[in-house]
Amino acid sequence: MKILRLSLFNLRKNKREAVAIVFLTMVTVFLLGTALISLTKIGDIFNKAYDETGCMEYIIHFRKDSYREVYKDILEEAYGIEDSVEADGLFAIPLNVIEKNGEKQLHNFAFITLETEKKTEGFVIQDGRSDDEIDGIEHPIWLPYAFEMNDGYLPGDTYTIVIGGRTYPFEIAGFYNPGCGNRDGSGMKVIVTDKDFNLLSGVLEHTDILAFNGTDEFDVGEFLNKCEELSGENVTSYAWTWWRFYESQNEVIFLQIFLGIAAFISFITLASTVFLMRHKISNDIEDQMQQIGVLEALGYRSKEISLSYIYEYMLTAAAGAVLGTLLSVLFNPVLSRIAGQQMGRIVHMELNFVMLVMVAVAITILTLVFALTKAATIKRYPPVVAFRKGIKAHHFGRNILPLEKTKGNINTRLAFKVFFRNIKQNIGAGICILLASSTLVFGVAVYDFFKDEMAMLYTFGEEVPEETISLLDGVDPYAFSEELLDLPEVRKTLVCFEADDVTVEEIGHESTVISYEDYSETENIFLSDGRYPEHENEIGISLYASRTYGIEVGDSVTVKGDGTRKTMIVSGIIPEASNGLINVYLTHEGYLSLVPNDTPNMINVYLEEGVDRSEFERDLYGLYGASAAEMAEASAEGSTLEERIRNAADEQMAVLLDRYGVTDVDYAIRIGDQLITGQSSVFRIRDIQSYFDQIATQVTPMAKAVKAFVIGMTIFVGMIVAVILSILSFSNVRRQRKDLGIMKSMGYSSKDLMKQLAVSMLPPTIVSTAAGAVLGVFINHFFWLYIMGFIIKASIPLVIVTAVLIVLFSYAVTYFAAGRVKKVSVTELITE
Amino acid sequence: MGSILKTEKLCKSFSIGGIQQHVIKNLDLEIMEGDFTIVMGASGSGKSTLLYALSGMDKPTMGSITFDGEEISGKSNDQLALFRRGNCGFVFQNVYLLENQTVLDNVLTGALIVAKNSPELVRKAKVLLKKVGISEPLWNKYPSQLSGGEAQRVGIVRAVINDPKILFADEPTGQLNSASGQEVLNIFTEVHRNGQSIVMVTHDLKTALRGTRVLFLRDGAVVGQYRMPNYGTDDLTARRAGLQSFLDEMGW
Repeated sequence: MKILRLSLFNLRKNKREAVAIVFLTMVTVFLLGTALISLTKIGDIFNKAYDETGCMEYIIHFRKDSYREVYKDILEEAYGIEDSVEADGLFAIPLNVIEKNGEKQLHNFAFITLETEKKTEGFVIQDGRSDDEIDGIEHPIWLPYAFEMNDGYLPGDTYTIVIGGRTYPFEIAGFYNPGCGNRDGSGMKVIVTDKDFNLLSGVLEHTDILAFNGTDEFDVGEFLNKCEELSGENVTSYAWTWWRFYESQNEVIFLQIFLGIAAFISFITLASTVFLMRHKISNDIEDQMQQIGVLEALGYRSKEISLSYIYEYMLTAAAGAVLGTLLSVLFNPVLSRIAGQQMGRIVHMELNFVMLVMVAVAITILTLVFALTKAATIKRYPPVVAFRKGIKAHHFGRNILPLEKTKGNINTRLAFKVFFRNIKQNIGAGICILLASSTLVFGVAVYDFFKDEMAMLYTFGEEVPEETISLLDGVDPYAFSEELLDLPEVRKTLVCFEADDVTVEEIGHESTVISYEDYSETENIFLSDGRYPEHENEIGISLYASRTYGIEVGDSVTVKGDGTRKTMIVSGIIPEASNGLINVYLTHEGYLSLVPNDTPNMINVYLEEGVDRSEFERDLYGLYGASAAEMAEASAEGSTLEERIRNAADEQMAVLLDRYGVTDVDYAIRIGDQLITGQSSVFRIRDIQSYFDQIATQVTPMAKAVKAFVIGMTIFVGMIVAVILSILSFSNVRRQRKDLGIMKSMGYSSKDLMKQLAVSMLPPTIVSTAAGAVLGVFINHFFWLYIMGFIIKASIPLVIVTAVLIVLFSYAVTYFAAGRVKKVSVTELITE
Repeated sequence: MGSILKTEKLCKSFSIGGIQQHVIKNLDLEIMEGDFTIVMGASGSGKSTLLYALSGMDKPTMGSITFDGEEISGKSNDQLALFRRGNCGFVFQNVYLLENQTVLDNVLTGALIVAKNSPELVRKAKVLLKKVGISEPLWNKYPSQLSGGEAQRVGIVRAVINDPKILFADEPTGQLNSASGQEVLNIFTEVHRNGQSIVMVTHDLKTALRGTRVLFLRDGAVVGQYRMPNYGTDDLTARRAGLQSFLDEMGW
């Protein structure tokens, strides 16, 4: 009991350190507990949310002309799947939408009817208008709940889609919880009435839907191959698959990353807690050496005295652990909301209280073990040694940095002497700073990358030109490309394909094809190994595919195209983060050897800096007339009869060109004596789209979330650094108060002494920060490369600036924390 | 000989348990340049408090302190530190050497805050150390390896290395045995003979005999002062009798 009283006395005496340890333990338990529980539960959380929607496991959209009813039989015969459902759908990749702010944005959509929705999932309405109200709506639409949760739409709002220049305003009847079709990337599933579905059928691509629940032996890649074998047609290239597993992977990946980083930070706080505890125990033993001697003289065993320190840290660590547990419990609803926003669905993060308590107990025990090993050093001090204040007062070591050889400022010299004297403490502090600075550098590198919210585009392993022009059939892309290059706004053009997908058998899934004649001309496709494909038989594969399927540069792979099958050599590995991370890269020749009937029909247009895209599009229409897509939806207006007739004829031609694959049209119209003639050669552009815009809508929210997380992480880690350094500085003042008082009597001002204490912490800070910066750069590189499959390069000047700022921040913290030296009174020292 | 230190209506009080304790009360005092002033008085009479106030280590509650014509009572703590650097040396009863620094470094720590390092400065430190009997083998020793007398002699060298205008000493022989005490006092006497102004607190008659002037404090006020006769001679007997008589008069 007496020992416990001594612990309580120590706690009261060193409140600041005790509070710091409670805080760090609390944070450790909170971060580690929350991260571990969430990481282990996140899959279950998704599954529960998915199950609640009643959605089938697979929903495959076949292009209308490539679906055969026998595919359903394959499911039954090969996999025993009998509950499959067939339905109609419409796919629009991408489609312009007029957002709430009035701006046009491109999104990927799949339209289905209410009947199809009820056949393929439970149609769980989360929020919506009443049935009576819905009956009165002319064009109702049901959107995934993410539109309300993340984008702020409400029932009753107007949701306007734009197809070919014509607007289709819908009224939001409600928001439902989808299983699949919840993300822009894979196409968001929206529900419309039969009447509107039929209306849209005329302007959107029709698909046949096959929905079913898989079995253990079912493999979607294998199934599609079987479909191809049966029909002898290219099915995989024209099938769009929603699969529960993919949905899960894509929705939780960022959460997993955030939680992983939180777990990493918890190790920093744990290291800091242990370091602070051990540092404080050392200081306390040194401070209380004579008291320890007295207790020993009175008959207390060193074990019992050590216990007084253990009780102290048991109390502080336990208090921190309890608070951390409470914080985790309180934070759980917030985490659920964040997870829900990230996943785009309502989820309930179930709290695993037992696991949380286990984490708290484990952290408490771990810190106590470290405390115990330090406190056990008391046995080195028998009473006589303790009375003489241990061995610390009996300094017989080498005189490091003798003042006799001082060059320059005496304060700096004395600071370095203090540094060498506190070398053990500095190593501990250095480790904490190293971990913290590596996290900060990593955070800053990530923030720097995401600061430009479009920056994610540059990881996509695809070209992101300002404009992509798709040409009407029969238009020579190379000649048109040359014409475009003559425009002053155009910096560069690259001819490419609107390519069909191919399947690399070793990967087993259809891959998006990226094809260029000369990859050295591309600007956003980078290599992590090997070289770009240069010959017909060469292929570049994604870093993700390389790592997941063990394909290396020089390996041979079998690639299936449109009725073709060919062995190709892997020439290079390309980090990329789009299209399921399994893009393949081919030369034009290589692609045509797989899909012989295709022709290049797209031109990537790279604009000069500062060129306004809208203006450029207007200029382009001025030069080449409206695109067929726009023209097909235009109304035949004009001031004279001839103009009106020509416009009406142009519109009809545009419809034929754009929607029916017609390549040439000539017309002659007689009105009395007047003959009006025209031909389709006036149309060359099918459509102008900005891939940049489309991807931007997907990456902007992600970039915002990453930035917010990184800012929070930086502030938090900064706080940890501040706590560690201020406590160190503070305890240094306490420990050295006698020396500081003596030096004050000699005429050293408080500022001199504060400077000395701050400078004494500079060497470990500089070394650790430099090492931490290097480590941070490596973490950044490996994190993105090996976890995400693409490369984010840290800006070295920025890393240097960050490191300098960390050092300055650390200096400022130690300097101001050392301000306690002002309270060291010479007279108190003399009279104590 | 002009005045080096002057106080007017100097007061110093402390709050102990919410009760104000007036340790120095309206004290008027003048210390002359070159004097070896001894401050005596019973325990609790305010001797040490006066010494800290005079040396700028503590701020008075009220009143003024003029040092060499400069008012120091209103200075901030950092200004007082700057003031102490060039003007004051201090020798403590408990010596207070820096435990983690060698003998030579202890001395140089005091010197290098005032002057830049130079061979002359290091030579001066070594000469002074030798002069007080701290020989070369001890220069790289740590305080814990010194005897009490040796440590105090190092303390004196540290206090005088900057040629302060005034040297303050708070019972410098209080912790020493008789022989060591005498050696230390001899150093003080020699320093004083070289023109150093000294203010020393003591309650030891033998120590007080080294001074030129004795102030007697009671309840924070100077109640008597005595100028020592025949200073400069070794006629200790005559001085002792005179001082004893003064102290008897003061009720010592």
